[in-house]
Amino acid sequence: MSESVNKLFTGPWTDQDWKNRCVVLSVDFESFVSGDPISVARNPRKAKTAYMSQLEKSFERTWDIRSREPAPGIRVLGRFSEKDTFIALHWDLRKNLDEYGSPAWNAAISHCKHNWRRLLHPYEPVGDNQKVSEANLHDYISNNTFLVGNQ
Amino acid sequence: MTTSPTIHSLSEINRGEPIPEETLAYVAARAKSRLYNYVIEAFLELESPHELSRADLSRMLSKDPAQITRWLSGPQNWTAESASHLLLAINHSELGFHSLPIIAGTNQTGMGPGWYDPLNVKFSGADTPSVDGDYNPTETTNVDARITVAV
Repeated sequence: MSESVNKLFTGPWTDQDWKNRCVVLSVDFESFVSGDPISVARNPRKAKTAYMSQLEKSFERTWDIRSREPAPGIRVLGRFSEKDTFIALHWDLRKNLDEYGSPAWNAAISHCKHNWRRLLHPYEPVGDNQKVSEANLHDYISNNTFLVGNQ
Repeated sequence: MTTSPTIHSLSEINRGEPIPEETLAYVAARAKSRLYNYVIEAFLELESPHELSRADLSRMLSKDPAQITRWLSGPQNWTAESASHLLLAINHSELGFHSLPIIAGTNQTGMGPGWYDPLNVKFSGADTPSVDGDYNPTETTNVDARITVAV
C-alpha cells in the first residue's frame, strides 16, 4: 500500500475517534487479506453497499474498497497488480468525493494512478476496457467473491 | 493534536483495567465480520450449484431484493436478527457460539492491536506477552475457532 494509506493503520491519528475508525478499516482490509467473502459491485452506482467496486470508467483499471461503517465512510482506491493482489494507493472520506464523475472523484483517481506510476512503473495493472462481470471477475479475485447489484 | 500509536498487551485486560477503545472497536468489528463470513459462505455454497438463489431468500424472508443485496454485500447494518433469519432461510439452522480465549502473538497483518493474531488464535495459561507483540509461550493449547450450528 502507499504511504498515505499505510498511515491510516500506523498513525499518528488526530484523535481517539479517528484511531478507532482506522482500526475498523483494518478489519475491512483483513477480510481481503484473509480470503473472506468479497462482494463486488456490478455497477458502482447501483450497489453502494458492496465491499469493493471497479470504478465507472473501466479503462482506468481502478477500484475502490468501501469501508462504510462506522461513519465517516472511507474509500480506499487502488489497482490490482495481479490476481488477488490489490495495491492500495489513495484514500479519502466518502463525503469529500461527492457524486461519481465529480472533480473530486476524478482527482482521487488521478492520485491513485499517479501513485501507481511512482511506485510500480513500468508495470501495468490488471484489467482492460471491460467492465467487471461474471466472465472476468476471477481475473481479479480468484476465490470467494461474488457480484452484487444490477448492471 | 496527534495520538501516538500504542500497542496494548493483554496484561491490561488481565488486570481488570479499562480496555482501550481501539481494542473494543477491533474485536467488535471482527465479530461482525466473522458472523457475516459464516452466513455468506453458507449461502455461496448453495448458490454456486444453483440450489438456492437470492430470489429464494427474498421470497422466504419476505424482503425486497434490494434488501437481500444489501445484506449479501457486507456486514454493515447486520443484526443478530438479520443473521439468524438469513441462516434459517439458507440451511434451516441457527447460530450457536463458542468463545475464544485469546493470547498475544505477533499480529501478522500489522494491523489492529499488537496482541491479536488473526491467523493463529491460541490459548495459553502462561505469562502475558511483551508490549512489542512478540510472544514465546512456554505452554499453549490450540483452540480451534468454530461456530456450532444446531440443525
